[in-house]
Amino acid sequence: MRVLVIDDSRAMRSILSKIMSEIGFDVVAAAHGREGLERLREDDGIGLVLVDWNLPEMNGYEFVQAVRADPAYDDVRLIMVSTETERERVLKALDAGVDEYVMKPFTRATIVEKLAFLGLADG
Amino acid sequence: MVHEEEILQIVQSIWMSILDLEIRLDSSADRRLREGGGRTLTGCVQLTGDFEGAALLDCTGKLAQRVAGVMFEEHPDALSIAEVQDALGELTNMIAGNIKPLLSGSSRLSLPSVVEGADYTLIVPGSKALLQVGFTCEQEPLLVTLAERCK
Repeated sequence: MRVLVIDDSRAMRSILSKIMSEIGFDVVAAAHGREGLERLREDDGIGLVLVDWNLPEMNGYEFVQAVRADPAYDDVRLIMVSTETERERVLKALDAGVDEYVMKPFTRATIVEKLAFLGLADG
Repeated sequence: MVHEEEILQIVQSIWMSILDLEIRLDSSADRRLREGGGRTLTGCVQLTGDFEGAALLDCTGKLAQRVAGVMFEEHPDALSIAEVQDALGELTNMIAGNIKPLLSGSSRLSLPSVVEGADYTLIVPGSKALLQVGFTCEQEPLLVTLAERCK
């Protein structure tokens, strides 16, 4: 399966891409929500998206709303990976349609645990 | 009110989870940064809403390169200035994001900005330092400041 990593930080994209590659995913990346949507439209092999909340151009919440509004992406799993750690933000993201929420900082084990919960990795 | 112990826990958690580096409190970090005379970097994330202010992360150029090297898995000397600034900005973002729930009310985070140079002062207009916590990582000083805009 291919995973799309969306984060405006090149360092964070590097960290997440390495973890996901080691787990066995093919990785593509984008720097903001609008670029992420373009990647998703171009590549029907993407089955999972890791998206940050605070992004330029189109933020992660708006990206999630756009993806969940399009039935073509019903099977795409969404995980928000964010520094936004308040309960209200997590609930808002879940209401918008994310499947899991990972708070920064995270460990590799946390990512694996969330993927395992979605049936996308061995726990 | 945010306490020094809470900042310590946030910074140690980030350093252990993301960087796998040890970091400890160092009350001389501010002086060492000011008197060091070399290149330093400051990451800044502004907070707006019920709390108005900013979270700032100051460190030496050497430490910024070291942590960026860990995040990019590259030798520190092989990194571009943009990559070092990006890494420091993301660390500042994580610190600000984890401080935010400790503040009263609801606030929003700005995207991080980073300044770099020698003998400069970054001023968040109309604000004062609410809390400043110094650290040492690999013998290099690092300073976390929470500034609040004066009302």
